[in-house]
Amino acid sequence: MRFWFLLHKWTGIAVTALALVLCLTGLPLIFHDEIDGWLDPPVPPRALPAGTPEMPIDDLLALALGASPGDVIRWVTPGEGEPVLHVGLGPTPEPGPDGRYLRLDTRTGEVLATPGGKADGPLEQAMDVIHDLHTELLLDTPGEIVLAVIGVVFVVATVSGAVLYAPFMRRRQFGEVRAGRSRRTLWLDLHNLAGIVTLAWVVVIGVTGAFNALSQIMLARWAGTDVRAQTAAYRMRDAAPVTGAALRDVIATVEHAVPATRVRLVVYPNRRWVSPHHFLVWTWGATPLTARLRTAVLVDAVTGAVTSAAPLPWYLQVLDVARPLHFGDYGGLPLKILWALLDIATIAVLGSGLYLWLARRG
Amino acid sequence: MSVWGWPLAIAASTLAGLVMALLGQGGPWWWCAWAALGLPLAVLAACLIPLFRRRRVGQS
Repeated sequence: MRFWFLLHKWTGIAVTALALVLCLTGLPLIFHDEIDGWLDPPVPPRALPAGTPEMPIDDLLALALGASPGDVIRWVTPGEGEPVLHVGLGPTPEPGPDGRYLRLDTRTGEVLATPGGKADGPLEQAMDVIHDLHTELLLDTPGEIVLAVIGVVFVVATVSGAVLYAPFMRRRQFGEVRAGRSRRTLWLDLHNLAGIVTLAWVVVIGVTGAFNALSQIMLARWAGTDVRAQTAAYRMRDAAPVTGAALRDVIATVEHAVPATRVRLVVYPNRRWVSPHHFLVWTWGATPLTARLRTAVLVDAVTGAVTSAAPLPWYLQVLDVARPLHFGDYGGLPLKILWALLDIATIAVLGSGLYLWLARRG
Repeated sequence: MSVWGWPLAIAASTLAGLVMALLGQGGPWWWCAWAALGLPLAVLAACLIPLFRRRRVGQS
């Protein structure tokens, strides 16, 4: 048992400070949809009679370009369950912080602006900092690697704590908290109780958090290996991004090539990400079992023909499942509230663990 | 085994809740997921509330 005690102690000491930062920054991020909606409330599409036909998607894109002179399209996302098209634009095809984003009513082509929003105010900037702190410790790729390591060590600390739980509770009833003894005993019992009831959730959050931390590195690896091999025949061509195929045809081709999926995102050709000669079309499965799993389809930007529709490698499929399991945004607002309460319970476990270590030293 | 009875039940409930919310499409699946994921918090509250009550009585 001494081995497990030392393992729990030292892994706990190693991760507690950063784990506290992650739990605290994760708390507002659980509700980022609600907070974003409050900071920058989206204008709903106009109420029109049911069955009002939608405009052709390429006409909508022409309207988006007209509303953003000098820009080119970077990405397009159809609205989920509402007659809205989301269009990302910028001065160059390459993604970057200089981009802007439009929502268009697909029936009227009207740009749904955001009057009176608090976008880019201090609260939104604070949310951005919280997000960057939580996902990369404000350190870009090195921060992502540190977070992945922290996630693994956090899981080791949690599991070793669970191993220590059995001998600790051998002569006690489950949930017993000895309030009449010393303050340290009280905190030890609270630490063990909160730790054991949140055990499964914390392990899931730790493992999925480690995977999520590596998401950009995984995507870069996939783009540098699989996609590079699939687009090898285009490498000799001019590297300037080109588009010629109509988006309507691109989407129809993809839906035919990958049946039982829905197109969720079309990334336009660019030099930084994937290929200057291809649309990268992300589709999601249409059934509950496949709804979290993406397929990446590369479409020739000039001819509109499918170049590749290979399944994603295993690590990106695991990432697809790990994402919602970490964010807790897949079961309505009550699930988010439960997520937040479990997060607070985890903060209590970390805080009590820190207290116990300091009290022992003192 | 008695030491692990409650912890295993709570862990199983938590994992079941995560999967039900993931694979269910709203409706009863989500209700079951909320109940299953609420169990660890309910157990925590059930253990702590009497403690706080005793402390409050002791202070007054």
